[in-house]
Amino acid sequence: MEKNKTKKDRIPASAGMALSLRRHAEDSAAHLASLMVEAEKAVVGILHGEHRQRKSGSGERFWQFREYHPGDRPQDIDWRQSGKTDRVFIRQKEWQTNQSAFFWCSRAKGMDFRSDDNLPTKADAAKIITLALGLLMTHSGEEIGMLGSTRKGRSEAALQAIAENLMDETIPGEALPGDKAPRHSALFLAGDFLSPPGDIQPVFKNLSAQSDSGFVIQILDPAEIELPYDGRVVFEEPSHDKQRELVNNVSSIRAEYRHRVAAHIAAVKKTCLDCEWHHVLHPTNRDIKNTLLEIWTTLSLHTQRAGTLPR
Amino acid sequence: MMGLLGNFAFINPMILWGLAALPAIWFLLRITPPAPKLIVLPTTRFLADLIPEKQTSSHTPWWILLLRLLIAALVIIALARPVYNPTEGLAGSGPLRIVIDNGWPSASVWDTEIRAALDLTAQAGRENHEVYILTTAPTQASGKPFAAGPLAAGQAEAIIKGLEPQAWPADYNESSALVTDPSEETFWFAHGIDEGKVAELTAALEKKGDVTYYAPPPEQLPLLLLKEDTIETGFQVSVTAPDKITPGRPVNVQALSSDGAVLDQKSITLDPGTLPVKIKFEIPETVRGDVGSFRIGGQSGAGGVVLLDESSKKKLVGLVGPSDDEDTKPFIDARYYLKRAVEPFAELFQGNVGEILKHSPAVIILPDIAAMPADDLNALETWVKNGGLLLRFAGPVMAKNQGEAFLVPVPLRLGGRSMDGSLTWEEPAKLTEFSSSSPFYGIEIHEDIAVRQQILAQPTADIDERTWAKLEDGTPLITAAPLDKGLLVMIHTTASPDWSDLPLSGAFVEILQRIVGISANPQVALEKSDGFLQPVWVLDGFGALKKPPATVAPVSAADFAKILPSPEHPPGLYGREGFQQSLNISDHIKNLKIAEPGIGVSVRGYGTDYERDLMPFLLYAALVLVLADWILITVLMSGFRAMTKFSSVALVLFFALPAHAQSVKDIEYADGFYLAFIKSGDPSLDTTSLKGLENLADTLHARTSIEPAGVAALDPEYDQLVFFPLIYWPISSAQPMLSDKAIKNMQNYLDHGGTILFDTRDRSYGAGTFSGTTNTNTLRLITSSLNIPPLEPLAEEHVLNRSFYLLNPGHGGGYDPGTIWVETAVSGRDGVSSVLIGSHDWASMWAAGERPGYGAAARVQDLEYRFGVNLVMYALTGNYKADQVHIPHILERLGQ
Repeated sequence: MEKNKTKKDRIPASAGMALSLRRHAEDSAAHLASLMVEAEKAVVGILHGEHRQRKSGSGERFWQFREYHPGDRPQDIDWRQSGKTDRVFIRQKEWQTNQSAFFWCSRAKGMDFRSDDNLPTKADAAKIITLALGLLMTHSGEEIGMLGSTRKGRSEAALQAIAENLMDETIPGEALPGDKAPRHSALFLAGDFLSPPGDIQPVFKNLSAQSDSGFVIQILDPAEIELPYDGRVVFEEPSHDKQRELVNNVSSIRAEYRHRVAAHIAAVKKTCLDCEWHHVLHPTNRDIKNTLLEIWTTLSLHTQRAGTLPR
Repeated sequence: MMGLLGNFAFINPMILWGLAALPAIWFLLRITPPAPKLIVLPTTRFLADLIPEKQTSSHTPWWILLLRLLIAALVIIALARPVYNPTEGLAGSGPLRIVIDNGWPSASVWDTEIRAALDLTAQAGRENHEVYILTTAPTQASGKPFAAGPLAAGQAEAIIKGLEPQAWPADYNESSALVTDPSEETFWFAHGIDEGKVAELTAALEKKGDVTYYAPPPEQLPLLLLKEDTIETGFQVSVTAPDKITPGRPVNVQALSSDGAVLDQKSITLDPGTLPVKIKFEIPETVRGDVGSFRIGGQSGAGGVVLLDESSKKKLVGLVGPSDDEDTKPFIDARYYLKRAVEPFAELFQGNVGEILKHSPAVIILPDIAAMPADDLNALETWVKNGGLLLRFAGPVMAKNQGEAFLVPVPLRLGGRSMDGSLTWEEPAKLTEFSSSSPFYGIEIHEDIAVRQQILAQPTADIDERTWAKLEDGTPLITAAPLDKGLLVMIHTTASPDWSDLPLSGAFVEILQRIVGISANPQVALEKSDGFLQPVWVLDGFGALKKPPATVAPVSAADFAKILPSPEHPPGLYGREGFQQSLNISDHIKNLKIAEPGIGVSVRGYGTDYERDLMPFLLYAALVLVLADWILITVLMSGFRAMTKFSSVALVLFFALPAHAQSVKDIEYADGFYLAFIKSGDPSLDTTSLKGLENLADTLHARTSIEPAGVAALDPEYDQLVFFPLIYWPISSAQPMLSDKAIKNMQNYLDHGGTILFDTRDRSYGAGTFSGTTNTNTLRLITSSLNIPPLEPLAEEHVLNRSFYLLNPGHGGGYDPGTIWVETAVSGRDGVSSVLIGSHDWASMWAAGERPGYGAAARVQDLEYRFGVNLVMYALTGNYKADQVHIPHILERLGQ
């Protein structure tokens, strides 16, 4: 006899969908929380107090009192301080640029790859690095925002907005950033950048023309770099066309493959240098702290030298 | 066609040439590279067009190759159909005949016979022979042995499995008469005992072709249990067997009560030289009356059972007189003759009345006693009135007695009647034959027996009824009359040869035996009987007692001693309460002879010639290896991790046993509440019913605490209906006719608390109108064979209208009033009507789904569901809402 079984705890379809969404959102939130924790752990070593430009400028924060020279604006005179002594003092604010940092994470299909369950996926690594950088920026008082969205800010809220944007899965995945960048922006692009160099170059050039500076963080899985497989394997591309390559004996082509991947990474690096951008390669088995430290040091060096965020 | 390799043979040896292909398979497998792993890698495009340094491909590991070769080899060998222990092929291509002995000795070798017959049938099937079947014992139905043919192997197998041993001897003559089919080879599966003229049957069979006779081994030859004379301390039986049995064969004989409880058990060993072996059972007096039968332990059939009847149960007979024997003069005293006559079959106790009564005898005999003390007389009278049998003999003392005779069945005429001597002109009278209404019917009286003197009875109106024996001139000789619950019997002559020759005859013993036999139930003896003994219990072929089927005929009492067990009179107990006689196999068959089938017949033993087909074993082994191979490959390719995903599947396949799908489903159904509907034979209607009930289930989930686990579609013939409290039956003209089994199931279901909602779906039950649509006719047909209780239209106050929702029929309450019929006055079952009949087509209504919104259409649709909810609530909770407790609230809500 046939029997058609309704589920034991059958709920109307709409409620079911809401439940699944909520579950998903909870999972994402938990994931986000774990990423944030990772990010915070990573910045702990780097962040020690506020990071200020020790220079005078036209920023909001007080920095020092300076004697009045002819040519300064009379509105800047701080009468209180002047009254204490018989000299005239100008209140100097800290130098601040109106430059903001914008982040971008690659959402290509290949970003969800990891070769080992102990490693994070490339997407997760990208998100952690982005969040960590965001944290650092916020602590420094910099303005941050997400590339592609107009919101930017200096507060925790801005960081939260960035985090939500990272978690939002409805945004279509792109392997390369779009062609619009705000003015006075410093771009931080995190992704695997496996697209052909011919595709990457025009995008970078375009972005560098619009923005002030850029930092490319190329994240790759160690398996992609080294190809540690053996035997007869058919490899499949995770993108939409699911291109497949059959390799009879992986060991025989390993060296050539590594050569090719190294050449591609070098090409990306060259493109960045041509745009006067920075580039760092982060294999996912490397501790994020190390990469962050490298990035931050590079930033600080440039800040000290140029007075602005790296150009 | 068969090649022999030792104990194996192949039926299709040509297929073995496939083994030559194995090296080719090996080569192919070797050069075929294994299936590649699949890895998802985002940098795949870098692999495009890579020129490998060297084109080496990896190989399949050698042990996987070996495994696959082994599988291939096993499959090839299996296809060649190897057979273990092959028999020589059945000669020719003509049909063969199977003769199965199924007389009473076959019970102990029945399994062996049937197994051998089935093996032969299977072989005949493989070699494409037709089969004729012949048995040797007559069947109950026709009186002739069962014969069938020509049959295919499958049919023959089914018939052989349905055969049973019979409880009576075989009839080889009848069997020979049935050897008319054109088969050539005969295989006779016998029990080894000669039950008549085996040679005749074998001669008839040999005329047709070769005969092979299968006899059981000596340790399995049948046994016979015989009844011996009862001894003082209990009973005696003896066991006999054919003289070819193995020495030292252990036999266990049990004494059983009439209920079947084992009272005693004795073990003996049989040796060929010392047959038959007597066994004594010493049973204490108190239990002796309970013993009903003796049995040989183990399956020994009707020949191993001896049933006891009243004649073997020794009763206590009290003889009034001096308790010692010194005064009894042999051959002169009546007591001497009585003792000699009674002692073989009963216990005799002599003493005065008081002493005798202490022993609770069955019969008390008063030999020629006219007077006794008053207390004795009273005691005796009380005893008789309580169901005792008093037997009195006449004599000179009684003849001379002047007073009123006491405790006599008929008033007596004083003075004797002498037919001998000088004062009479009559010859001593002879007895007539006992009439059929007399308990002595069947006892033969020798023609020389004469009565010379007797006491006469007063000729009253009812003298004939009370007469059990008469003389030639009609004078009663033995009379009997009831006294309350007891019986008074009087023999109007002496118990000694003074007055008649009767005590000298064997008839005397038989008469006394009958009287003692009656004593268990004295009143029954007075009932008019027609002299036939009806069968009470009969034995079946395996020696079990069962109710007699209609084919068993009563036996006349006169002929009882002579009849042989046969289909009309199987062994068993015949008679009536208090007067039963047992018919045993061993009454007439006293020994067992080995059958000699004659020269020209090849005699074989069982069990040496079984062919065993090895194909299934080999295929199963190949399957196991395939699974092993698959497991290995999965482990190799994707690692042990992947195995966990598939391991459950693998385990299930590996241990794939024929699942009892029925019982698994039944457990599911028992686990939860399922709504059910009967399949109507129309697929679209079934889909609608399913959908409708599913929607109803959803509604119940959403609104009530009832949570149906699902919906089941039922077939009343095959499915267990007991799990479903409510069954919805949509009637359609495509409904297949209910078989008897289906009707039985349905009736059972209704009787045990089920509820069926019949739906004729055509809205024909208007208020008062009753159109005879096709569906209503189909409904009538279905219910004509079911016991439907009286029905009435659903009343407004019926609890169905308020079991969950308060429905207002007629005010838009979901159904039109008067269109649903429920049972009037349900008693028990919690007030749930077992049958509800309607025509509203609920299935379509429910299948339409809930209408969103609050419009009128939505409300109407909602009312349909409300009725459904009410119905299910009613079926599950019964008259809960009809309790008085709820009435005020309900009335309040109804606004009254």
